[in-house]
Amino acid sequence: MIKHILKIIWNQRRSNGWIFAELLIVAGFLWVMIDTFYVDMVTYRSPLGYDITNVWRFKLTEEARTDTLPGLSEPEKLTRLIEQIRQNPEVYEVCAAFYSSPYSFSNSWRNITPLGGDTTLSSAQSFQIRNVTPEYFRLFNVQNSDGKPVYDEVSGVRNALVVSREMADAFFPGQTARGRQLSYTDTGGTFTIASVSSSIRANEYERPEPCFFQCLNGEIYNFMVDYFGARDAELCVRMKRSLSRDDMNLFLDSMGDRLTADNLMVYGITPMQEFRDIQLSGKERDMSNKFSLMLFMLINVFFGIIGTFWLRMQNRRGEIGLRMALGAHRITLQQYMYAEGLCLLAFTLPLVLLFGVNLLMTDYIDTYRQSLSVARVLVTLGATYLLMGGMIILGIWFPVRQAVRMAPADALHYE
Amino acid sequence: MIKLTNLEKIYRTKEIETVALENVNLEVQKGEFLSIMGPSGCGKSTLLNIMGLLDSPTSGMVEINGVNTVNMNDKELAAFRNKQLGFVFQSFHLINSLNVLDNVELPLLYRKVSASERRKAAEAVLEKVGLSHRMRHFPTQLSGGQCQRVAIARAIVGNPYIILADEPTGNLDSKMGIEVMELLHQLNKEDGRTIVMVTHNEQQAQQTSRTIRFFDGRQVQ
Repeated sequence: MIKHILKIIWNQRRSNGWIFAELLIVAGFLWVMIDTFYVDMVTYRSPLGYDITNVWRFKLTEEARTDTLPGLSEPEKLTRLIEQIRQNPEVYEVCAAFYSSPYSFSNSWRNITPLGGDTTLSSAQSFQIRNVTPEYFRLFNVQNSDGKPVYDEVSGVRNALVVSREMADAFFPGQTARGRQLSYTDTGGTFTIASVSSSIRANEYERPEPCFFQCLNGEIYNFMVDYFGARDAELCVRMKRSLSRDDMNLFLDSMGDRLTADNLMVYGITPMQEFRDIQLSGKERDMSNKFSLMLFMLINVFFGIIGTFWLRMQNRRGEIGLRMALGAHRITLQQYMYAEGLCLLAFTLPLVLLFGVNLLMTDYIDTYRQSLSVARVLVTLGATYLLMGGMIILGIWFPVRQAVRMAPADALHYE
Repeated sequence: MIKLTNLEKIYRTKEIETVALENVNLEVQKGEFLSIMGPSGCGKSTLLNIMGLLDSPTSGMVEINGVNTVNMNDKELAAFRNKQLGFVFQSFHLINSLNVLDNVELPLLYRKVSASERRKAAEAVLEKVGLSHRMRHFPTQLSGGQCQRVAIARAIVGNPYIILADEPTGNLDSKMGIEVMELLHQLNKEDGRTIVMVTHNEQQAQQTSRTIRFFDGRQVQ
């Protein structure tokens, strides 16, 4: 039967050529579309490396002083405020960060040099830095590569750094990063890698980039808070349970003057989820537009393919009648027609693969966010051909079903 | 061989009801060459289609080789058509995208017959109809007479007992018509096949073993 189908396809090559060309273009186009969708979806659903559930951002401000008495220093004010908030039994954890909390889109880089150990494969490099108090890791539930809490490894360690898995791989390829010492190329100082965290992503739309966290405690804490100012600290508070904004306002009311430390005070709160939504609204709008366009194209492809095969089958009702007259059973005929359509589709596969290789070589396919893998090719190509195969079967199914339901004598009249 | 009892065929639409065949009783004996005549629209082709199981009667019984076909399901009907009946149509009904050999092989495709056996059988019948030199040609490269001979070859390739021919010379000139009729007579006399032929040609009808005539869906002679 397959030989017969191939013979028919070949002998009708003039008209099938156009259908083949249509299928080829659509398959290539659809593959790129599905691959883009796949990359977006897999990237979106990959772990972020942190958890913002029940986390609130507290906005700080400083009241102008009306007296001339010396007040608390910047670090003292911030420390006192953090402690006052932490003491509330509703609070799970409080931390401070400087342009480093999730979704803050910070972009600070430091050049660092490895100290001691095997440095044959490591040289000074710049990496993105995030300045956070150690409680950050507990609050956002950041885990190390083994799935254990990073907080346990950094707690109480002075001059501790936490490097992301990507940075550890880039800076110490094939070596153990934990315990290694580093120094800032410009200002010096000795820092110890206390933990290697799991991959950390800036947001749901980006891949994990190499980065490191400088744990703010002791002198470094004092220096950084002085440098940035206490009121510029991003104070993050994780509550023990999910609270509505009204509940949270009640919580703030209950806190009273404990939301003030010297002239530093809390003046507003935002749920981290809401902050995330605001920060990512542009990206989400772009994605929504992209998916709408994809859907529109998919609908066009759907009607294009169905229409092509529908008309093709309508024109062959006479042939269907003849085959029934000669002894073909209606189910055999339907299967035969499906197989013919699917064979035409299958012929596009080698050329579509060639097209894919070309796209890959011209960097048109996104291999930055998701590396190219056999699974990715199989999933996207499989989805493309399943979708197109489904459309072809649908385009064939209805007219053939109508034709085979007729008496062969009636179907023969269509020739 | 073929027995039609109280056969009726009525075409119904929302507005009208057309009686195509009314109370037809007919028996065709084994090895007989029967011709059916009558004016256009009298129900000849409808009768042939019902005899060939290409259409179903509104009422009545169609018995072929002692088998009542009325209660057969689609699958049984398809297999029965494939094995026991051969069709020759006025407009040939060849598939233009298949060459002569492939067109002739077509009925065997729906049986469990190997490709080499199909090829052998098709070559043999093409030899018989005198078209062995045209096996690789496509229908569009053949004359009308040659096309009809291909159709006859296709009708006999599965070795059916009965051949049903619906105006087989209707689209041919007289010379080619004679050639096709000679071929049908040869199949009837030499191979003993039963042939039922619808025709408008009185001369051709006279050459057959029996002629029946239809008028307005009724057998009148």
